[in-house]
Amino acid sequence: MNPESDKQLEAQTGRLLKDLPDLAAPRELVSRTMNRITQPASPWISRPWFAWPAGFRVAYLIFALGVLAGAIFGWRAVAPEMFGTLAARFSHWTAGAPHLWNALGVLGDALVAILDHFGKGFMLAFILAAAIAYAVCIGLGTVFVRLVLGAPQKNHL
Amino acid sequence: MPDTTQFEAFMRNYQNMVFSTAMRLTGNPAEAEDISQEVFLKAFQRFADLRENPRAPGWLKTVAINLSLNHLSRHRSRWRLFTDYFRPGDDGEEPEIDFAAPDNWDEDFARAERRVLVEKALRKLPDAQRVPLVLFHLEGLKYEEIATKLGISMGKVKTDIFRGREALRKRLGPRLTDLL
Repeated sequence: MNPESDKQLEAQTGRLLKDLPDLAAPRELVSRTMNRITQPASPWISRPWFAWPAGFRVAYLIFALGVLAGAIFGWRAVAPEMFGTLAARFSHWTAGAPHLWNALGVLGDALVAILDHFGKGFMLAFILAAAIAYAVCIGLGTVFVRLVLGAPQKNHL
Repeated sequence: MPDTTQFEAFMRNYQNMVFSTAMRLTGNPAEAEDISQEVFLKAFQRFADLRENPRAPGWLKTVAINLSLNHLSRHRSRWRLFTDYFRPGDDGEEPEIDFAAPDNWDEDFARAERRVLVEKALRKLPDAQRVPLVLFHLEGLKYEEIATKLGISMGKVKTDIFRGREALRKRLGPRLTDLL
């Protein structure tokens, strides 16, 4: 970089750009904006939930949680017989759980046997390789997100 | 509620300035129009303060700059990676440049032609060069202010502006010396 020619280029560019007059705004800009101003604002209920007034959002959240809680627990108080029947059916479905637990135990034992067979060094190397592969995936994902979705501070524009 | 007729007159006074600011920062007419509309909607909310205020143009410009930069940082980075390879104008379709009517209708034709060339060259610069260049030369911001606004280091601002000038010179080519 030559400071003298840089200064000259700065001055030339400044002159060129400062000489530019304003661009003509689109003809419809005024009418579009005036339409937005004069049309009555839509009622809060017709806007997306995130655009509702804060009080209404909180009230709605409480109401929705109440309805959910009612749906889960309320009918148990209202119709205990029906709840009893359903509870019995659920206990029938979960009767197989101990067998599943036993199967998992067998799988665990098999894993321990494999570990003993190959030795701890091999397994540690395998776990390390898996961790590195996972970290590479996370890194590539981060690069993708930064480049495509962009972090404003890093990309600055 | 502010007087809409007065506001419309106010808007007609400043619409070219606001649109130009947004247009030169975003490089996209549709985005610049949307940003200009947002600027004037904000101005309408504060019209009672702005209508007789001599600082109204400065306020409008600042809001236009901030909204344009917000828009660029929010929306552009999502697709810039891909669209940088297909910038508008590369396929030969150039959006028409329409300057506001000059005060003097006998303005030299060569000067008008030169402005169109510069405007087109400016529009073709990548965001990272055009934005700091416009902020420095057209909006009169200092390096520190630009760095703060863009959230980057001062060194990067200087480099980007330098590259922008060089790119502008290359795009204008040998005509640059004729233009000055």
